[in-house]
Amino acid sequence: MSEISDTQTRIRVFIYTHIAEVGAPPTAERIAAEISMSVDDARASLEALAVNRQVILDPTSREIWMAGPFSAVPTRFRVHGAEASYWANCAWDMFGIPAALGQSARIDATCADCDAPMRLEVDRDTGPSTNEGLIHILLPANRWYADIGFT
Amino acid sequence: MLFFRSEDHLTRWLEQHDAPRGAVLSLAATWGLAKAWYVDRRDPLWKPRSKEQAQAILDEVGLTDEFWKLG
Repeated sequence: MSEISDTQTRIRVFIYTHIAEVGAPPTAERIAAEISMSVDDARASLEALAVNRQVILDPTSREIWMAGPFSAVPTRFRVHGAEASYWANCAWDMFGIPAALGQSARIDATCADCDAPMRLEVDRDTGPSTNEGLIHILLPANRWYADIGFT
Repeated sequence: MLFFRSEDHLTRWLEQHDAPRGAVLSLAATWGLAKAWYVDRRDPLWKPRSKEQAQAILDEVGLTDEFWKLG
């Protein structure tokens, strides 16, 4: 894992601020404008953040695909916060979003088996208001360490 | 990590996908894990965790059996 520069830290903080405010990660062009750097430098910084597993980039566009617990693309897990709505990467991350934002949230999730919609209310202090439903983790932890820095 | 309405739905899904049963967490337990894992994610000082630091979080929220050992 390479050293994290001050610029990379500024970009990471901006990425999360942008997501919190609008519900989606910024493009490389938007990062360049915010940090006052060229788009090429912004893209290079995103690649460096990806090496450090702070973000995962889309394999084709090289824009941000995931910045845990947030997803740039639609998933089964939609989280509605105080300022915006967000896509979560997985069932763990649907709770990770209110935790990362420090906000209460409403979650619209679907059952992986039958696609039935389930609405969950999450209080920032006390957690989910119901215990109906469950989360299944398929792979043991020793098989997901490759992604643990991001997860 | 997937969400299921009930144990019956999980069992059916595992059979249909010929998948082994992994670990099952309640919503309350998943919230505890997610909160411990992500509470500091927006902190400018946050850094990717080492395996030892990640294991400490799993241990702290009571996920201590073999399934949760990072190896």
